[in-house]
Amino acid sequence: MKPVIICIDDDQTVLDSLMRELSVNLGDQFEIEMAMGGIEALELVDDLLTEECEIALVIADYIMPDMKGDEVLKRIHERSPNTLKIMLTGQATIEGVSNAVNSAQLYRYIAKPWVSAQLNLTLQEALKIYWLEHQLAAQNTQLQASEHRLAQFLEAMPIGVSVYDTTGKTTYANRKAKELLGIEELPNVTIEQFSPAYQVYRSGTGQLYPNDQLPVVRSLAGETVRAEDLELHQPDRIIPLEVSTTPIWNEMGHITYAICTFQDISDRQRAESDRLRLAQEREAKNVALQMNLEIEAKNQELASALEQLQATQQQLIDSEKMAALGQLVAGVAHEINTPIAAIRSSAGSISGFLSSTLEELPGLFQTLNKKQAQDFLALLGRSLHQQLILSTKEERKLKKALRIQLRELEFSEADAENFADTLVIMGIYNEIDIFLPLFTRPDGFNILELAYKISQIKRGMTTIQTATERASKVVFALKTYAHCEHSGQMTQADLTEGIETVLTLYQNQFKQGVNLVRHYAKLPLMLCYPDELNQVWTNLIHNALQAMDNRGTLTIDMAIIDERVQISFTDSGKGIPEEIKSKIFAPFFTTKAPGEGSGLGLDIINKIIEKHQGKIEFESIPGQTIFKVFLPVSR
Amino acid sequence: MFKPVILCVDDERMVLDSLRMQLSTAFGTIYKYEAAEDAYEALDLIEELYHDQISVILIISDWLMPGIKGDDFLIRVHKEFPNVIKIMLTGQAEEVAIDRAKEQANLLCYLLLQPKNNN
Repeated sequence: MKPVIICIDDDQTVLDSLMRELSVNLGDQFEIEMAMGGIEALELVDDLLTEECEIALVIADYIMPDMKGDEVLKRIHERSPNTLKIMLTGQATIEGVSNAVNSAQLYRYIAKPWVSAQLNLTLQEALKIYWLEHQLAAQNTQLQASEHRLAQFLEAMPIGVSVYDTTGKTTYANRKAKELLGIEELPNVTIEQFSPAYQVYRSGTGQLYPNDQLPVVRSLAGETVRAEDLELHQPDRIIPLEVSTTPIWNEMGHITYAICTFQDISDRQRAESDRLRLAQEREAKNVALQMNLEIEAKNQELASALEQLQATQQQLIDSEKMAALGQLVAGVAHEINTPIAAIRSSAGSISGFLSSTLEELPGLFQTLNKKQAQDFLALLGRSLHQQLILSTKEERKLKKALRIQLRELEFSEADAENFADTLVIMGIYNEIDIFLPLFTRPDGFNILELAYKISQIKRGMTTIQTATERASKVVFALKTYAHCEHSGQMTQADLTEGIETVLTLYQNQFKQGVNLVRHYAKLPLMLCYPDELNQVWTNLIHNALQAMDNRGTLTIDMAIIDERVQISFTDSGKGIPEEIKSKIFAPFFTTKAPGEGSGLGLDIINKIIEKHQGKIEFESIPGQTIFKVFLPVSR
Repeated sequence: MFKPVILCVDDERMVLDSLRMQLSTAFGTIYKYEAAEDAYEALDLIEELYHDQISVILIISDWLMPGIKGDDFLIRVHKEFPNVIKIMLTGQAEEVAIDRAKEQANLLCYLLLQPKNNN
C-alpha cells in the first residue's frame, strides 16, 4: 500500500494543477488524493487512518471557506503527527503561518502562485525527510529488537555480567549477577563502598576485599583483570568467584565503562578439591600398597628368622640334654660295668663248678645206695628251689643258729662251721635232719660240697640273669634319654616310667649319700612329648642333687588334683636365695661359674611345660625346696 | 682256734656274691668268708668278731657306698686294727680318695672293677 499525499484546496483548478504535477513526479511512489475543503480532508484522513494507510504529506491552502488551513493542519497533526505539512498561501497572514508552525509543526509554506521548480524541490525535500524519518523509525525498531535480544542473551547467561561507569556506579547487572550479589535492584553505591555494599571478601581471610585491588576498580584504571580470590558472603552461604573485568574505551581512548563477568566456582572448587582428594587417596593407596609389600617382605624375613630360631632352640635343647647326659656318663658306665663284671665272674665260676661237678658226680653216685641217692637229690632239690636272697646280716644270723644246731648234733666246731656256712649259702637253713645220714658219712663234707657246687651253678645263672636285667635297664634308660623325637607328634605315655628311667640314670649319683623317697600315685596315660618331659625330670632331679651336694633326701610325690597331675620334687638342699627367686626361670641366668652350665635349664623346661599347657611352681627355704609341676590330664 | 676272716664290703649284692665265690673257690676252707653290704655293717661285724677273738686279716672294700665311703671306712679300720690288709675294689674312685686311703690306711692296692679277670 503506497503512502498517501493529500492536497487540500477549495479551488478545483489549483487542485488539478497540483494533482498533475504530483502525479508526474511522485505518482509511482505515492497515492495522490484530493480534498475540496477542510472537513472533507479530515474525513479523508480519518478514513485513511482507519484503513491503516500512511499519510506522508499534506498540502493545504490557507484560505478556505469551511476551515482555515492552519486549523485543518492542526487537526491533521493531532491525528497523524508524523505527516509532513505544507501550506500553500497567497494571502497568508503572519498569524496564520505562525499558528500552523506552532501547533501543527508546519514544514514549509509555499506562496501562490508557485514556481513549479520550487514546488518540486520543496516536495522532494519534504519527502526525503519523510523517507528518512521512516527509515530511522524502522532502524530504531530493529535496534530495539536487537537490543532486546541482546538483553535476553545477557539475562539468560549463567554468568553474572555487570557494567560500571567511571564513578563505579553499577549501570547494568544481568539476572545472574543480581542473583549472585543477592540484590533485586541496582544499588546506588560509589566505588569506595563497593566491598561492604556487595559483601565482597578475600577468599579464606574473612576480610573485606581491599578497595584498590578490586578488579572493577583496576579495570576502571585500564587493567584487564582475572581474579579467583574473591568471595561473596551471603547470609546463608559463601560464594567463591572467578572474576574477569575489562575496561571499555570510547573512540577518543578514554575509559567509559568497566565490564565485569563473574561466576560461582563452588562447583569447580569442589571438583578441584575432590580431584585433589582423589589424587591424595590414590597416592595414599599407592603408599599403603608399597608399605604392604615391604611389610610382607619383612614378614617373610621374620618367618624364616623364626624358623631358624626355632631350629636353634631345638638344637640348644638337644645339646642341654646331651650336656646333662655327659655329666652322668661316668656313673652310667659304672652302672653297666658292675653287672657285666658280675656276669663275667659268675660265668667263670659256673664253668669251673660245672667241670669239677661233672668229674665228681658220677663217682659219688656209685658210692651211694638208693636211699642216699634220693637224699642227695632231695638236698639238691631244696637248694635249687630256694629263691630267697637274704641280707648278709640275716645270713650270718642263720649261720650262727645252724652252727649251734650242728654242735648240738655232735658236729665238731670246725665241721659245724663249715657245714653251717655252706648250707646257708646253699639256701638251706633248717630241717636238715633228713640229710644227717649223708652228712655223717666220712666223706660227708665232700658230698655237701658237690651239692654246693651244683647249687652255685644255679646261683650263678640267677646272678647272670639279674645282672643282665640290670644292665639292660640302664642301657634302655640311656637309649630312652638320648632319643630325639622331632616329629612334633604327641604320644600317650606313662609319666611314672619316664621318671623311673631318669632315676635309673642317676642311681649312681644317689649312691653317694642320697636317700630317695617315692610317693607315687597311679597316673593315667598322658598325651605328651615324653622325651621332653624326661628332660624336665632330669633337670629337676639334677638341680636337687646339686643343691644337696649329693647328700640328703630327695622325695618325689605324685597326686591328681582338679583334673591335673601334680608331680613334686623336694630336696633337703641349701635352698634358693630370696633375691634370685624371681630370676631363676630367666634364660641364661645361672649361679654357676662360667663354663659350668648354660643357665638355660629352667628356661627350657618352663617352655616345655608351657607346651603341655602346664605350670611349674616352686617354694624354697634352706633345707627344703619343692618344685611342683602341674600337667592337665588329657582327655 | 678260729679261722681267719676275709671280709668283703660292697653295696652291690652281685659283686659280693661273685667275690665270695671266687675267693672260696681259690682258697677253699682255709679262710672264713664274710660279707657286709655297707661300711656300718662291716664295722659292727669287725667289732663282733674281735670280741669273739676272731681276726679279720683281709678286707676288700668298694669305694662308692651309701653312708661312709670306702676310704673313710678303711681309715677307721686302720685306726683300730692296723694289721688288717686292706684292698679297695672299685669302678669309680677319685684319686684323692685313693691317695688318702694309701696314706692313712696303709692301702695295699686298689683294684679297678672291670669285668675282672681272676686276679
